[in-house]
Parts: sequence; C-alpha cells; structure tokens
Amino acid sequence: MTDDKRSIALRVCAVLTIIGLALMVWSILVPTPLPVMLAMTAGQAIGTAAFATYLVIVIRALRSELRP
Amino acid sequence: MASWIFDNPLLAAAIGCAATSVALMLWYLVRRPALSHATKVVLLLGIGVLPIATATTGNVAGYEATKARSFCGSCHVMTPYSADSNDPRSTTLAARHARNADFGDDNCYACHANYGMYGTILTKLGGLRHVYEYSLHYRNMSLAEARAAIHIREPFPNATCMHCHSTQGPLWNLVKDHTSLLDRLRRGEVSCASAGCHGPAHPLSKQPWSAASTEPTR
Repeated sequence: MTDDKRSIALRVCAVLTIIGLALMVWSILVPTPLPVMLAMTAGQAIGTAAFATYLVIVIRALRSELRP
Repeated sequence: MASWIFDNPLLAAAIGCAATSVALMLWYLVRRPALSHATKVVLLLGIGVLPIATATTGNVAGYEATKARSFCGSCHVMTPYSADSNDPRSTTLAARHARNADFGDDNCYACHANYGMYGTILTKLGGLRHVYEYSLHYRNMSLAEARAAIHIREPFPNATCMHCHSTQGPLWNLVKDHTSLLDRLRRGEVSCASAGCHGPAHPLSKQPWSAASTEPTR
C-alpha cells in the first residue's frame, strides 16, 4: 500500500470514528429507543470497522518497515 | 442538560472520551501529518482506546437508561401508563410501586423484567421485540386505538411479585387472604394483580387474550 492510499484510508477511519462517536453521544444525550439501539449496533459496528482498518494499516506499515 | 450529565460520572467519562477522540481525529484530518510513530500513537488513542472507552461507558449508561420509566414512556402509546406512575395521587399498583424509593424511577423495569440467570438477556430481547412492534405496528396509532389493541403478552407472573414479596414474611402472612390463597398464589392460579386483590396494575389494564382483542397479543 502506498503512502497516499494509507493516508486516505486513515482519513476514512477518522471520519468513520467521528460518525460512530456521534451516534454513541446521541444515545447518551437522548436516551430513547432509536438512538440507544443505533448506538449499540451501527455506532459500534462503524467504530469497530474503523479500528480494524487502522490496525491493518499500521500492522502492514510496521511489517514493511521491519522487512530487510 | 449539562448538570444532568455531569452528575453521573459514567456519562461525563463517556462524553469526555468522545470529545477528546473527536478533537484528535479533527487534528489529524486538518493537519494531515505523516504517519510517524507519534501519529500512530495519536491515532491509536483517537480511533481505538478512547472510542472503546466511550462505547463501554456509553453501553453501561445505555443499559441503565433502558430501565428508566421515561425510556418506556418515550413511545407515545405508553404515555398513559407512565403518566399514571408519575401521578402522586394515583392509587394503582404501578403508581404505588413508583413511589417506592428503592426502584421508583425504574418501576416499569422492576415489575416487567425477567429474573433468574438469563433474566436480563430475556428482558432485553423482549425490549427489542417492543421496538420492532412499535416501529411496524403502533407508531402511527392513536392512543385510543392503541388502548384497544395493546395487550400484555402473557399473564403477569406472580413470581415477579414474589421476587420482593417472598410470601414468607410474618407481616405478609398476617393477611388472611394471603394465607388462604398461599398455594394457589405460588402455583400462579390466582394473580396478585387481579381485580379482587391488588389489581388492576394500571388504569388501562385488561386481561390478556380478552374478547376485545382484535389481533394476536404482543
């Protein structure tokens, strides 16, 4: 993966994280069924996807750095 | 709203973690730094550690919020029931339990929750069914229509009452009706919440599967 692609993917991760956090905070501020269910499903799925993508990118970057 | 949030350390922690994470993400999106070790650590905090902390504390706060009467009453078809519990002059079983300081604000959950090893999970699954039914069937119903259509899914079990009222206390057994009906109460043949005893629990209560029902009970 090139640096440009890595950078774009990490920016997507950052945006996804903000969306996931917005859903979670919405459920805290407005604890009604729809926000609570969205936070516990979509919010956490989006956050998990962002974190998983981040881990894949960073692990690949580290492996390429360590490769002789 | 701010005082309500900051009175609860869990909510304050969740919002603090979320705000810090968003600040880090915005910094990354605006500054677009190179992927150095420092940037990786910042991203680890912003994408991983802080959102996980927000999700954890937010989940606990969310589960607690789903126990509150205000949560149950947030669906319009439940407002007559929550309004009755909120009424300090009401003498219904639900309202009298709402005035019990031990679980006053959580009185819907205390009486309608399942108990036992899987009680919490079964209760949450039941709650999901409520959201499903509300979204697909009752969302656009008037209160008058909902009053006729909505029924308790199955007869209210005495075991729920006996979770607190064990039927073994001396004061409870001083009541003649209690002692004469003890075996039938424990077997669930007579309901604590029946009209001749302590019921009806709500001003709009009706028997499940009554003749007034026009569709299967939910």
